[in-house]
This record gives sequence, structure tokens and C-alpha cells, in this order.
Amino acid sequence: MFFLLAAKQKVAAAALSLRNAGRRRRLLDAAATTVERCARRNAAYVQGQAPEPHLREYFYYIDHQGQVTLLDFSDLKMLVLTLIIESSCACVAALLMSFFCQLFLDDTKVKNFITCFKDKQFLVFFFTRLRPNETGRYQDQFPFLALCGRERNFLRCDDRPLVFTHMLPGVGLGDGGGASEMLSFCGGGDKLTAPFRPEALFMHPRTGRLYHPCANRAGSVGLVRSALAFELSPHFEYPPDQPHGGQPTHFLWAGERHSLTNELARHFPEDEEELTGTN
Amino acid sequence: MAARVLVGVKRVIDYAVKVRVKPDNTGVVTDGVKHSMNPFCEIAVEEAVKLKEKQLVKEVVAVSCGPQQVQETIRTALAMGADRGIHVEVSGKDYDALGPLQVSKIMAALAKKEEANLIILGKQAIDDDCNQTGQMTAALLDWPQGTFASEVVLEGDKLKVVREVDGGLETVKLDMPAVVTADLRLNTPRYATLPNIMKAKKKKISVVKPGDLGVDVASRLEVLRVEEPPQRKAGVKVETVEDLVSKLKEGGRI
Repeated sequence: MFFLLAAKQKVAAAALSLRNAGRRRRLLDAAATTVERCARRNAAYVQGQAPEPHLREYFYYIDHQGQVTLLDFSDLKMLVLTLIIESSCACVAALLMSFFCQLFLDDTKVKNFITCFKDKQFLVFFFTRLRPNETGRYQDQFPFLALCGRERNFLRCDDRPLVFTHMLPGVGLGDGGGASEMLSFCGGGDKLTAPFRPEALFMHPRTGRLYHPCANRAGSVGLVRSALAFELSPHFEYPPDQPHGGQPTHFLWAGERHSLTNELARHFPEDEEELTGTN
Repeated sequence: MAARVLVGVKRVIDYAVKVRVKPDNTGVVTDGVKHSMNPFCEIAVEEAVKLKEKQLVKEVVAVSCGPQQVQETIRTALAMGADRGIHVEVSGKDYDALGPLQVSKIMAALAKKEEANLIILGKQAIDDDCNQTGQMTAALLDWPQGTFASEVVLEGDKLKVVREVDGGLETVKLDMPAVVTADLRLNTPRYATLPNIMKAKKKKISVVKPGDLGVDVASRLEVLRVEEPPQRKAGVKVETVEDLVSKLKEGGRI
């Protein structure tokens, strides 16, 4: 927050030097709005920053395909903020602030399959340590974090912090037991898994996205990535009056017809009314 | 308004899979290996669907060349919002030898047959990294091309394309009909929701053969050998800078 507030103060000082009241007010409003939006959505930080000695902070993002990338507060935006703070000329500070406002509207994403982390060891290490962020730092923007020794790795999500990417065949439990499949998540292969519970698969009635339970400390609900939802789609059964439409009622798997419990609906409180209505 | 967009989608080995070379060194192992849509093709489909949502195009047609399994790739495109699909059936040795030249001949023939005025392809496939199909298709059709697109704006019968090039960004204006190839920053492919996946199952996929389009898929290339890159050798730790310098001298590096 320091960078943003310092920039805002500098611009406030710059605005005072403007004789035109309208321009002065517009500049102050723009600065205040941008700083507020920035603080809410995208707090300023630098990768590897050290808020205290011997402590480092890193910032990550997970998309709906389960791809994890470093999330940089754009270098250019950071540079502009720094220039604003350091500028000696009020007019320059004002000009830079309007440039910053414009930059902020342009949120270019550079998160894709090339830049995402693929090292299984790193991903396993990261996600086995994932828990809700209760540090009081960046809690709104980064709701989860993985603590690794002296590192705090904050995680922001497109949807959920945990994304199921593959189904792994089950290992037989013995002569009486059936094979029980596992769902693998976040690129961890057979090291990051959760038992597959067909009856707990949940399609969000508004967004149409598919979800499955996961560990409580990882948010209790994991997103099933689109490609995996595609593989599972033939097994869903729909109400007779709405074949292939509306909310599915059953999931056919391994010779059994599982009645969908929709137990995950309670984790989407903003849609609770809608969800309990369709149950 | 551009009537019809053709989008090429390729079925490739999934980007997260560790690729293995076949013991006979004729190619890579594909049997039983996870396949998915080429990530650049996903971006191409997303762009086409966005144009349709903005009502700048009327119809998005997804095209794929290969054996029966590519229909799954076409269905993924349909789930993302394409209207219908065309499966160009190529299998066996013809499929093994299928490359950019053959695919571009097929795309050109389909563009004429379907009266498309925009073709969007991924800039390259992650299995062969050719980065040729878009360019060849444009040349065969004598259409302008906007390759490595990071932004596409349709303005009437003209297309403004911002291209990612080594020196930065280049903006070009193309007359339609045109060919565009999608680069990474063009967009973020959407999550194909379960209702859309189910709707996609009812959308039509027509099947044609290259011969029906008057295309000869014989290849002029022969793959002689496929090898893994050399194994990375272990490094050596030394105690002092003097040791390092003498080791480098020994190895003839300095």
C-alpha cells in the first residue's frame, strides 16, 4: 500500500498547484479511484519483497485450467508509481498519474501454458502447504497462501485455488474391494490427489462450471477443469423433461447410478437462494 | 459483415505430457498418450467465438484433419461456441505424413467450398512447431495474412491486426478475406461449461475426405530419424575459485 499512498499524496500536492478547479478536482478523483481500485484488486508489490528481515513474499495466480504462474504487479505500472513519488515537478507527477490511470485499465494477461510452472516437485511442495491466508497481508486480493520456511507464497485464483485436471485409475483394494479412482489436481500427477466421489460432483446452476470436493484447508471446493468436465460429461443424467439441459440429477459410474447430493452448493453463499431452489 | 469464419484445430499430445521417442527412432510414442487441442488453436477458437458474440461474423466452423479421434477436438471447439464442425478424414500413413502444406491445401479448398472470408489458425502447433500453415494457406488463396496476432479488430470489410514481432508490435490493416494466426496474448480461452458441452454433442460434424476437396495429401518430406536431446550431464562442484579456473583451463574453455 505504501507505493500507492505515496503516489496519491504526491498527486494531491501536484493538484494544488493547478489553477483550474475543474482539472484539480478531476485529477484528485482519478487518483483516488485508481488507488482504491488498485488496493482492492491488485495491491502493489514486488516479487520477492522482504517486509521483514529473513522473510520473502511471492505472488502467484491459478487459472481455470489449473495453470499456476507468477503474478507480477506490472513492472511498467510499478515504474510509473515510482516516478510519480520521486518526481520533483508537480506537473510531471500529475501527468504521470493520468498515465498510470490509463495503464491500470489495460490489464494484459501474460499467464499461459508457456509461463506456467510445470515442475511437479514445486507444485506438490506448494499445494501440500496451501491454506487460507490469515496473515492480514493482502488477504482480500490473495485469499490463499503456501508457507515454505521463510517464504510466503500468496495465491490468487481465477475461480478456485484447487483445480482438478486428470482422473487417475484406481488401485484395487483387494478381492472384495473395487478400484477407486483418484482426481489429480494442479499438475501434481499422482502426488496431488483426492478420492473421486461421483455423487458429490456439482454443476453450478448459473455458471455451468463443474466442481468436486477437496481438502478444507484448500477451500473445500475444487474446480474441475473444462477438459476433464468434457471427459465426465457423457456420464451425467438429466431430468426427463430436460434431457441434456438444466441441472443434472445423477452420475453413472462403474455400473452404479449415483444420485447427486449437491452438497457443495453451501460453499457458494451468494447463490444460495437459487441453488436451494433447484435442489 | 464477415459471413463465415473457419477455425483450424489440431489434436496434439498434451503440453503437460513428457514426450518419449519410439524405440525405433521413427517418431514419438502417441498410443495411449493424453492428447488435447493445441493451445494456440484454443486461442484461435476463442477469438472466432468472440467475433460471433459481437455479431461481427455469422458462423464459426471448426475444422480438423486426422483420424476418428480428432472429432473429440472438434467437439471441444463446439463446446467453446463454434457452430458446426468439419472432419477431414486422414488416417494411417497419410496422417503420419500430414504436414502444413497438405493442411493448408485442405483449408484453402474448404474456404472456397464454404465461402468463408476469414480463417483463424493457431500460430503454430506444439508438436512440430512449424508455424507454416497460416502463411501457406494465405498464399494458396492469395489472401492477405496477419500472423502472430495479439489483437484483432474487425472494422467493416477491413481487419486491423496487431502483430507480435521481435522488435515489438506491428499494426497492419488487411482487406478481407484474410488469414489470421493467433499468438499467446490474443485472449484467454474460456471455460467450456457443462451445458455448452452438452449442447455441443448435438451440433453437426460433417465428414469429408481430402479427395472430395481435390487435394492430394502425398508428402514430399520423409522423416529419417527422431532422437531425444542429449542427456544433461551432471555438474562438478569445486572448492575455490582457483580450482574453477584450472578446471576451465583443463577443459579448454579458457
